[in-house]
Amino acid sequence: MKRNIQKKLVEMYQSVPPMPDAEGMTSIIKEAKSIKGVIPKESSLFWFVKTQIRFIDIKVWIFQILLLCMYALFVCATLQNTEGFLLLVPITPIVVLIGTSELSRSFRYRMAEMEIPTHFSLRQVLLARLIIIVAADLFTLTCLMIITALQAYTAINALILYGIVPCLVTAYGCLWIMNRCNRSYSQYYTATYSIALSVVGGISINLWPVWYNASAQGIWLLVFCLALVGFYSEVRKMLNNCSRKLECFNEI
Amino acid sequence: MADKINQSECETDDMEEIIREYYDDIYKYCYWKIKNSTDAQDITQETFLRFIQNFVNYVDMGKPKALLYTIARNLCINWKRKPSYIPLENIENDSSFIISNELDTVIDKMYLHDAVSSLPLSQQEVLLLRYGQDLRVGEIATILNISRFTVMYRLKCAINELNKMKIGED
Amino acid sequence: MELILDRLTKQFKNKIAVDRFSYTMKAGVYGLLGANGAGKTTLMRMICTVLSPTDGDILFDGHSINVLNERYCDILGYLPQDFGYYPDFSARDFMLYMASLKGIKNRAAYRRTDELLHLVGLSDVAAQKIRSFSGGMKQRLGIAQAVLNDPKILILDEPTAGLDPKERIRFRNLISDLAKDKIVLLSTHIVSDIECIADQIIMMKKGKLILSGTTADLTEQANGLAWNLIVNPKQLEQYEASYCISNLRHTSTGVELRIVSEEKPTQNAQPTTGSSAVSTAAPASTEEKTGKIVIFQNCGIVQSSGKAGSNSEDL
Repeated sequence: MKRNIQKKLVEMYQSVPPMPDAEGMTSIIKEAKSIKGVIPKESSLFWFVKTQIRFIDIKVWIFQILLLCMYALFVCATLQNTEGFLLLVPITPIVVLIGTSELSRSFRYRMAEMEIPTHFSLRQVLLARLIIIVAADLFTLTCLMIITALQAYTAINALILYGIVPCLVTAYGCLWIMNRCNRSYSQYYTATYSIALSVVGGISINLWPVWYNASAQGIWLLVFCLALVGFYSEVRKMLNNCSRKLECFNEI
Repeated sequence: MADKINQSECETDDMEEIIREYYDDIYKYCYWKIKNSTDAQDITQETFLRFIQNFVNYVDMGKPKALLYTIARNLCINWKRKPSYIPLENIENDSSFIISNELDTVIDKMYLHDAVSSLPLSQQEVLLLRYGQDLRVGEIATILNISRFTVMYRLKCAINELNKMKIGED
Repeated sequence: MELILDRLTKQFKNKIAVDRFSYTMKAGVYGLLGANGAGKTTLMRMICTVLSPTDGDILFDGHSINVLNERYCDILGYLPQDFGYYPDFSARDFMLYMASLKGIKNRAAYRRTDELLHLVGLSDVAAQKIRSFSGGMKQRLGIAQAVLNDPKILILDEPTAGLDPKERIRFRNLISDLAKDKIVLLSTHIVSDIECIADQIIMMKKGKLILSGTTADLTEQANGLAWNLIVNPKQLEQYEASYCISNLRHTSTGVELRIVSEEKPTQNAQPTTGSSAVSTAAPASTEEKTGKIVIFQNCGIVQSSGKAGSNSEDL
């Protein structure tokens, strides 16, 4: 009996009036074919920065890690305590240098022209690279400071100051150079500048120890502020120069 | 690598296949929910439109069936909420519905139809999906977002009720 | 779908590269012809927002592209004349990178990359570094990235330059396939490319639009302007000085010249008929270059009523 009910139910449900529009299915199939071309897109800067991480040259990461390892080894091997933290000063410009070449990649390898007419455009590419490099540099810097702090005894604020200020001064200088010099050669100028800064930093520890007195920290703070402002303005300049209207193509 | 290429080439074909396979079934389902053939087809079109628009987001199209029914069901629910919706209970108004001239069969069908309509909605739903759309218990459970046990229980109750109303007897 | 170029002008310091260029484009393939320095690349760069015009505007469906910004770039695909690549990239990396710039989500990016690499015939070298690619392969990769976002407007700057004839034909077919329901603008020196696939031809000289129309229109205009003549080799220099010679071939009976002139140059000159006046059927590159020259000389004749003097600096 129950089977009978089931059979009748099936029969009942089958009896359906025909569709008013016989072409309904074909029109949907046509629609499906045209919609196939719709490509899912993403517009957020956060997503973009995330995707750009994998396109950063792997050498950047390798050099940063190498630098960290070498520094750690050196610090552990040679320093016992005392003013070892001053080694931070010559090393941080090199950290910054490693990352700066990433920023000029689009120009050195003539990709800029293809990167401009895209959704995110060259401006966002540079911004994304800048964010990633700055984050990486800050991370490396923190590691360097931690390594130093483990070996040498010093005030935290002094450590941070002697770590960040050379970093910022290098970054400001490099951006200043990149914004004003011919893009093919800017790499060499920034390298020269960073290495020079590093050397000066190294020498100053022995020649001008007065720089590292507690009393001089006020000056370091001032340099920090100036460099920060300069860095910010150079970043803005770089991004505005490389907005959609890339006039630098005059060079070509 | 070759697989990936073939997969992307076949996507439109997949979609077309899916549409061809389920179009009629979805229409039938919508008809039994809405009881109006024009509206039912409208909802069917809308169901497939939404399906294909989101197609690119689904990598594994293993079970489009459940998805289609879910979309259709939600659309029917929304449709019924509209103030312009007037439930057509009288199936004899659809003159094309009457396939057979046999009076007995017609009366039988009307009787069964009324009997089913008198059941609670939750049971009607499972009956439709099970006997109208020939879906498995697991699939029904996914679509209605209830447990398999609940599905089977509701089916059992519904059949028992119909039995009491002496549907099975000829 | 309509792209309007409205009195577009670009001035670099003391040189005007594009001079009040106005044109309207609808779906179809447009061939942009012009000598080096005519302003083709500058025009294309302006359309692609790489350069901003000194004056004039570009409108897509009635909206200025300055207002549309990213939405315009979403429907744009560009293949520059000379593009580089990041040295550590493979073909797939390159495509995925460009896909990320165009905002295409990951799964779709992989799917699209595989699809397009297969379409241009690079799927078996997808994992190889681009520095190992030949010129033709690089160009194919370039066009693949240009269509990643399924653009409505496709701008190709000299896409067939440096390709051998077989690759050029392949490229032509590829562009024909991709061109459905799109506005395609491609610039080239090679007339035979344009002949085969362009619906409309646009000619530029010194930054200005000097001629436009279908291949048939232009061929018709060239009718009665080209003449064939066989001369003694000794007289060749004399002819070269007096007339515009577009083609030259040494035969056993003498030198066969094709002269472009409004009037019949000599008594025994025979008119060249129809499309052979502007066609460059032969595969040799000199023929193509001279084909180009024929067209430009035609333009000179059509535009000005002066004598058909051959002065290559005019180009």
